[in-house]
Amino acid sequence: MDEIADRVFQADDVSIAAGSSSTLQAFDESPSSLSLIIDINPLQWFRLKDQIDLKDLSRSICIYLNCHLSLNSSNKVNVLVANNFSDGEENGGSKILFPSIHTKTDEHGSSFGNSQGKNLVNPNMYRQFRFVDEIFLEELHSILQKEPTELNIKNFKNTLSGALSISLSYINKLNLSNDGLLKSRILIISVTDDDSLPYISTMNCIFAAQKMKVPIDVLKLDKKDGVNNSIFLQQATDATNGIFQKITHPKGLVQYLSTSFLIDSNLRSILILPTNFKIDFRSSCFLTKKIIDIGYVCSVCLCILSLIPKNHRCPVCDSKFDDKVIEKLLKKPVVGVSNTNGKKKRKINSVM
Amino acid sequence: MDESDDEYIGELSSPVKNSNHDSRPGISNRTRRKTGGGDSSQNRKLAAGNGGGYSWEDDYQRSWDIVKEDEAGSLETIVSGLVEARKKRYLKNVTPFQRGIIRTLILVLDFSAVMAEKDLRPNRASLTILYAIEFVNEYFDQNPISQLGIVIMRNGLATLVSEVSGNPNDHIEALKSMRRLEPQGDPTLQNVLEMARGLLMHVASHSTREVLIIFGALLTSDPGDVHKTIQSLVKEKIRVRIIGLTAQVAICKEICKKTNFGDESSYGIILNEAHFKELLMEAVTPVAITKSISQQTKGFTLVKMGFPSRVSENSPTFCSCHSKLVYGGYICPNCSSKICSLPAICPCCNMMLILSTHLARSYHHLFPLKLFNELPKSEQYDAYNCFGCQTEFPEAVPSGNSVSIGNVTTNGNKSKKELITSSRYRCPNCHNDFCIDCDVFIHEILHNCPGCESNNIKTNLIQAKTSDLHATHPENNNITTATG
Ligand SMILES: [Zn+2]
Ligand SMILES: [Zn+2]
Ligand SMILES: [Zn+2]
Ligand SMILES: [Zn+2]
Ligand SMILES: [Zn+2]
Repeated sequence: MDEIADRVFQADDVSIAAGSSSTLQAFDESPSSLSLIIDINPLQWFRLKDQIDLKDLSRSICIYLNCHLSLNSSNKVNVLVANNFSDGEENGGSKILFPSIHTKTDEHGSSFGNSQGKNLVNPNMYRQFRFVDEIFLEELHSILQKEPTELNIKNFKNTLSGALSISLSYINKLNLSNDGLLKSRILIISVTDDDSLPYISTMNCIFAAQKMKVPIDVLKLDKKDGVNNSIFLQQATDATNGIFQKITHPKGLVQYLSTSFLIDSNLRSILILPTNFKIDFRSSCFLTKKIIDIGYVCSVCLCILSLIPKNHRCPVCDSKFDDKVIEKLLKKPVVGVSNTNGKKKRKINSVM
Repeated sequence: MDESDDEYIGELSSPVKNSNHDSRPGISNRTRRKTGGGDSSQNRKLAAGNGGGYSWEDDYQRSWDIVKEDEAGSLETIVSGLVEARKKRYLKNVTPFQRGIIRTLILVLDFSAVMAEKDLRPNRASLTILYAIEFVNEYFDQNPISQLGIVIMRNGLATLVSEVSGNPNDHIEALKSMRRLEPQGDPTLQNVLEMARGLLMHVASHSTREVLIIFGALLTSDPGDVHKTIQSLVKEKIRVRIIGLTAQVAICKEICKKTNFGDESSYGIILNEAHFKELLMEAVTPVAITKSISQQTKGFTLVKMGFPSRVSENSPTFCSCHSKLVYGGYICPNCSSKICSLPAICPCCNMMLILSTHLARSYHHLFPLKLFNELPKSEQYDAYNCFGCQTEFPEAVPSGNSVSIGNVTTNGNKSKKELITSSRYRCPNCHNDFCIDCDVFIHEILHNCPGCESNNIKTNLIQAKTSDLHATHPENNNITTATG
């Protein structure tokens, strides 16, 4: 019943606002949900250890989450981690931290789990904030505890796409239960380069987000001299109207989070977004995983290859390529020789 | 009560999301039983025009007649049936056929006198144009490097409205300008097919050749023998798909059958506006290339393509495609000339330039996600939450209450309700459980299994092939430079 009453109220709101100047005012009142994905790849955090560590990050994140929650009383958050390496049966990779599935989220906050998170958060904090922050810190702590001391890098696969998939399913469910009244967005705090990101599944996530009109924002933490290699994440932000920022001064992280990344998805059309316009649209080779700007594309399955397969068959769909076409592609450019201008040029050509 | 009738039907025709959908009290009053009808699937089949008889010979089917209560007066079985039907729809697409993804399609619109009829609102012609615009958008969204051309049939002639090109805006402009055109005269299948043949003649061998006809009339006025045209269509491997707005016409059926290797399913007759759109949108998905076709074709082409980067500029420079001053653009990776929009063929070095995201849209056709299996009912389950949306699953039923399908209490009280299904759908690869909402979302929109993607050890098809190459990952270098 509450829900119905709410909707009527909102409908009134819209009509009033439409009467004045624009409907934007009314939209401002509608709640939004934020999915935060934190990349906790230990190897990369080690690389950044002089500039920032996870403790600094989680401090800033708590402030950021509280900021988001304070904008509207029915705003929602959920937090995931990607790239953790805690081996064992309970899957490593990506995991959801908040809402926690371990601590039964009791609305009255009676069973806030064990003490770990409680000690870290000021007990006098506004209850809504404390509830989120405590569970977030607690879960993060328990994941870091399980982190192995030695890593088997051979099996490394960037699980950011998994975290994205989970948060998109989560958002899908939110949309179903809220009649699409809730706007959602995703923020990825990334430290890992894209080379290890599975290309197809990342692209699938991008298209799903595009269809659902969910902007994906990316905050890339990097060293000052680091080569920016987040090609796919850049493409993700571009396709979904999100914000991409590379941050090399992580000390001011709170500032970045609370200015650039608090922009609501329906304000994006009227603001100039703090994102970069130069975007690398290169792609990844299906076979070698190399990032390429010129490639060969199979006309049947559209897979991208950086080299012509030796057996002249598509490695993905097994179609036989036309030998003549292959021959043409393998041909190197030849310096043109005109017949009228006799011997000299021919000589040069033969020398070459 | 009467008021809510519409709402209820609307809900049923929209995809039903939850198998445990609580049937609301009062529904039985609104549901009318149809006596003596065949079973629902048969009815639908007939109505779609695919069955043995003609749809107009059958009794008129109301959409609410399909819904029937079971013996216990519950809708639960029907609802779960609808869920199953929805699942079956994507099951169809899982067969890993090769798909001809680079397509060339000629869209043919009937603009003869019958199109002025008002059985579709506001009239047939305007609705067709409206839907055709949506079709063009969707077509280029799903097939970004394909081509399209538009032809109309009017006054017994075939007229080219929009040249074959890959630019959706040209086609949409052409369609919009047709709104002023009055439908007139007779339609002509032969003329239009011959024109389509001519347009498709020069299409490169790696592209599919397709014709989509929206046919409102029940007649065709042809200058010669249409059967000869059909034969040459078959010879040139042009596939024809027809959407009839009125009733089945024998010649249309024959055209579809002959050009689609004996398959009649490419001929559809609309039931209503929504079905019209559905039939039109079916043509958006690329046609599967069957084994027999791929064996007939000796060589497929490999196309060299460039993936340019976008640049921003403070002052405008000339683009090489229109010689206009523009801010920013894309830089050809081969010759470094500036192009304003993609996809395009570089005017300088003749290389095809596209965004990699254009290609990636079709990859889910190539690597279809395995279907999730519904878990059998059991007294105990491993997972308590859906892996995707983290919603709690309904609790397992203790063995004391034996469960019989259809014996469901409808008072919405969870503890009293016995469950028909386990409501858990398990991915065969990663063994994570999902709810029905997530299952449908994952297979229809996302095309990724969150469980498989989240696991950093298991690898999927392509990655397994190239896993050896991962040994030389930059990660290795990083750790050495960081420590040393
Ligand atoms: Zn291929
Ligand atoms: Zn230009
Ligand atoms: Zn060029
Ligand atoms: Zn779910
Ligand atoms: Zn899976």
